[in-house]
Amino acid sequence: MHTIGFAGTAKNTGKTTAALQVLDRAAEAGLCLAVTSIGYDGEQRDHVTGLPKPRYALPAGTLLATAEQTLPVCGRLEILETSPIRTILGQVVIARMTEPGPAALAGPNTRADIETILARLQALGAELCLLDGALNRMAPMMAADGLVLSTGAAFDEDIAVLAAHVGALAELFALPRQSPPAGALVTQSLLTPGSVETALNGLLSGVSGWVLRGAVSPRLVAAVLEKAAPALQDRELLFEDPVKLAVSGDPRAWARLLQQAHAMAIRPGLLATLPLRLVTVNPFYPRYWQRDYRYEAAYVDAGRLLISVQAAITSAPVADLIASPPPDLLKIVLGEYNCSD
Amino acid sequence: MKTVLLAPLDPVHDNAIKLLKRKLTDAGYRAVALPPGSTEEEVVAQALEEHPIAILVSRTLGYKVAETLGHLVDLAEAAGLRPQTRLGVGGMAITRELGAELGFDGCFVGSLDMAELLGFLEGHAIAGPAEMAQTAPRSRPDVTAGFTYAWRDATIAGMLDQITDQILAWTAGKTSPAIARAELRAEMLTDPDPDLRERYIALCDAEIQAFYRQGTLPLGVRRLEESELAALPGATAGTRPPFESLRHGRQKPLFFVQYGTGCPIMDITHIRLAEDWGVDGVLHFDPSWGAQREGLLEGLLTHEHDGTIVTLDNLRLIRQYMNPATLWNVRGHRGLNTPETQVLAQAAGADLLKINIPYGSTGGGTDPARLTVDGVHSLRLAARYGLPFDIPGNDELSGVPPQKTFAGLLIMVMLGLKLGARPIPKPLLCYSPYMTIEGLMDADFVDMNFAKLRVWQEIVDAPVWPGEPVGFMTHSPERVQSAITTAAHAALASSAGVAAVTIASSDEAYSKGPISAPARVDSLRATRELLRFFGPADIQPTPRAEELQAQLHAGITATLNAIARRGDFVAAIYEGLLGSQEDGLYPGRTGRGSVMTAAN
Repeated sequence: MHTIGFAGTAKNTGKTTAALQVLDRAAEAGLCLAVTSIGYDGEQRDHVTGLPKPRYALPAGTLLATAEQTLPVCGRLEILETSPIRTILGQVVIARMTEPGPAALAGPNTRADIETILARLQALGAELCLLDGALNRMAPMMAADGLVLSTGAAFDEDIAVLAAHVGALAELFALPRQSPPAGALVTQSLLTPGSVETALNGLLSGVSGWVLRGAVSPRLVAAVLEKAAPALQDRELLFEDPVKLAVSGDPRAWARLLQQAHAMAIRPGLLATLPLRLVTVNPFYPRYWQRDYRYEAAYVDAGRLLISVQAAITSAPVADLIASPPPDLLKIVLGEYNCSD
Repeated sequence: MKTVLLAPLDPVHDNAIKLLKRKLTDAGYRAVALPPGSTEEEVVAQALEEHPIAILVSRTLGYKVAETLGHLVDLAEAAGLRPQTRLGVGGMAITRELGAELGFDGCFVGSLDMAELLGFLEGHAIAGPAEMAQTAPRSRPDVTAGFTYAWRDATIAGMLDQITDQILAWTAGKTSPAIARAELRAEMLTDPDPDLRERYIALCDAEIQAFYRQGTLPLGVRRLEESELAALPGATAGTRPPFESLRHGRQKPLFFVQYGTGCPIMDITHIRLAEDWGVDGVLHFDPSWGAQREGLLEGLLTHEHDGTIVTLDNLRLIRQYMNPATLWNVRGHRGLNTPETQVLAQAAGADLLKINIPYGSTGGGTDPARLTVDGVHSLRLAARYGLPFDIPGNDELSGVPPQKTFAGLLIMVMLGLKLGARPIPKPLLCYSPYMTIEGLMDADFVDMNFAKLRVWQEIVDAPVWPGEPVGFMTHSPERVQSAITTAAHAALASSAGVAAVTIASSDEAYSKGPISAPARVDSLRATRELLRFFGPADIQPTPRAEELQAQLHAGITATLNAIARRGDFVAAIYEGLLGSQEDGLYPGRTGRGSVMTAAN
C-alpha cells in the first residue's frame, strides 16, 4: 500500500484540495482507496475565518479511518472495525463507504497511532492511503511513503518570502540518507542550554560524527558548531528525519545552518528520508477587514507565485492544481515520475 | 507527585493558567506554570526537563494562533514527549473539532470542569457530548417533589372544600362533545375501527369534518413536506454541548421556555436551542383557533400563525427530537378540545398537563359551564395518567386583581387534589393593568412579586411556578431591556424559593411573528448571568412586601368567601366573582349550550 501525506506550510494553503485531486485520479485509475487525517477535516467553513472550505466527497468502496463523532456527518457507510485509539472526537473507527458521499475525517494524531491504522487499512485491501494533514502540522507524516507539500499566500502574502521559505523547506527533504557512523555522539533533542553543554562536552572529547534525534533547535545547533566545528570536520551531522527538522525550526534558519556546515566541511544528512513528491501553490489568502471584523477571500498573482516557487525548488515538481493541474498527477505523487522526465 | 506543565502561549494573559495552577495544586499535583509569552520551544524544552504527565495550554484563538498551537503539538511529538505526556488545550473559541485538528489529546470547552480535567490527567478518555449523555444520563426532575399539599390556612381550605364539592356535584352526570371525543380518541390510539373514527367525526365542527371527509385543510394550514422532514435530522444532528443548567448550583427552580411557532420543525429547532442553553423543560402552546373548533386534526401540520397545531403526529415528532431528560408540558387548559388534548399529550409522552377552568372560561375562551365539565374530566385524566398539571394565572393580564386570579388557582388546586391529581399553581409575575392603574408597583417590581409568591406559603405547601412567562408587560421592543427584565424576574423567583419558572424570549411580545433564536438566547444568557451573579445570595424585599402580602391574603379570602356563599361556581364566573367586566374580564362564549346529560 502506498501512503501519501498531505502537509501544508499553514492553514488554507490547499492540502485538502490537493488530496481531493489525487483522490479523483486514483479513483479513475481503479485503486482501492483509503483516507484518514492527522487532524480534523470536514467543516464547511474555516474555524477562524468563517470562509468556505473544500470537503471530502468519497467514492463508494473507499475505506476511511475517522473518529466516531464524525460519523453523523458522513455519507452512508459500514463500520468494519473500532480501534482502541481515542481522539477528542471519540474512538477511531474504520469504515467503508457503501455509496458515494461526503465524509468528515478525524483520525489518529500521533505517528505511532497512524502506523497502527495504516496497517489495518492495508490488511483490509487498501492500495493507496491519503493521509490528510492539518494546519501546518507535519510531525506524524513520517508514517507516509511520500509527501505532497502545499504552500500559498495564506502562509505569507509576500511571494518572495513564501518562495524562500518553501524552497528552504524542500531542501530539508532533499538531504541525503546516511547511516550513523560507529562512535558517533547521539543527542536526544537539543532544545535546552543543558543539552547544549552536554553535546559540546561530548563532541570536544572526540567523536566520529554527531547524530541529533528528536526536536532540535537550529539556533542551538549553530551555537554548538560555533565551538565544536573542528571536531566534526569531514564527519557527518545527521538528523533523525526531515520532518523533525521542519517542525523544529524555521527552514530558512536550517538553510543558513546547513550552508555553514558545508562551509565547515561537515556533511549533513538524515537517518530516514521522506520523498517530497510534489509541491503545490495556492494564491488564496484570507484578508481581514478590521472595520467590520470579517475575512474575505483574496489572491496574490497566481502566475508569479508559481514561477517564483518553481525557481526556489529544484528537488520536486511544483504545480498550481487549480490553474494547471498536471495530467500525470497520480504518477507524480506515487513516485513513478522523475523531476527530470 | 505528578507534574503538570501549564503554558499560556499568550503574550499577555495567563489568568486561566493561574486558576489552573491553584486548582491543580489543591488537587495534589505539582503544577508548573510558564510565564506569558513563552514560545513553543520553551514549553517543550521545559517539558523535557520536568517530565510532566500533561501539558495544558490556554490560548484565545485568533488568526495564526492555530498554527502556533499546531506547532507546539508537532514539536512535542518530534521531541518524543507524546507517549508520556498528554496534551490538552482550552480557551476562548476553542472547539472540540479544532482541538482534534490541532492534534491535542484533550480539549476543554466552556467553563473549567475540574472533574473532566482530572480525568484527562489520569489518562481517562475525554467524554464527548454524546458520551457524556450516555455516561451521565439526566433524569427528568419532578416539579412537585417534596411538597405535601398540606393546607396551612384552614379557613381558606374550608371554603375551597365547599366550593369544589359543589363543582363536583354540579358536574356529576354531565358530559360534552369534547369528553366524548376524548374517549373515542383514546380508543382510536389502539383500535383502527373505522366506526370509531366516524363517531369521532360526527362530533366535530364542519371545518374539521371537511378535513376528515374531503381532505380539506383549514385556511392557512398545510402538511409538512417530505423534504422538510428529511432535512430535519441533518439540521439537528452533530455535536451538542453537554447540558449545563441555568441554576448555578441551586436545585430549584427548574427553568422552562414556551414554544409554539406554528411549525413543528421550527419548534424542534427552538427546543434544541433552549436545551443547549440549559433549560429543564418546554411548554407547547397551541393556536387559539384550534381551541375554538370542536375536534382536532391529524397528521404533520404547519401554519403561519402563533401556536403549533395539536395533533398526535406533531406532538410525537416534537418529542422525538427532544432530549429525553427535558420536561414537556402540553397546553390544554382552555378551549373546546381540553380533554382530548390531555389524551394526545399523554400518548405523545408529555410530563405535565395544563388545566385552568376559571382562566380558560373567560376572555376569548370557552363557556364557563362547558369548560367546568371538560376541566373536571381533564383533571380526572391527569390523575389517571399520574401527570401533574399546572394552572396558569394569566387572567391577571386582562386586568383582574391578583387576589381574584389566585382564588381561581386555589380552587383548581383543591379540585385537582380531590380528584387525585398533583396541581402546580402559576401566579404571574407581571406588571399587570391592575398594578399599573392602582400604582402598586410604581416604586419597584420586587415587593409585589415577593408578596405574590410568599402568600402561597401561608396558604398551602404546594409547588409554585411563576409564569407564563415571568416579567409579562415589563418587556419592550428593545432586546437588552427585555432580556434583563426577564432575568431579574427569574432571579427574584429563584430567591423566593419557587419550584419552577417560565422565561420569555426577549422578543416574545414584539417579534411580529415567530420568535427568533438569538432573542431566545438573549434571555437564557441573561438569566444564567444574573443567577451566577446572585449565586446563593437572596434578594431582600422591603417591609412593604409584608403589607402587600397581607392585603393579598385578605383579598383571596374575601373572594373565596363570596364564591362559597354564592354556592354555584359556574354562576360565580358568569357573575364576575373571579374577575368582573369592570376588571376587564368577560365570560367565554365558545361552546355555550353544549353541556349534555351523560348517558348512564
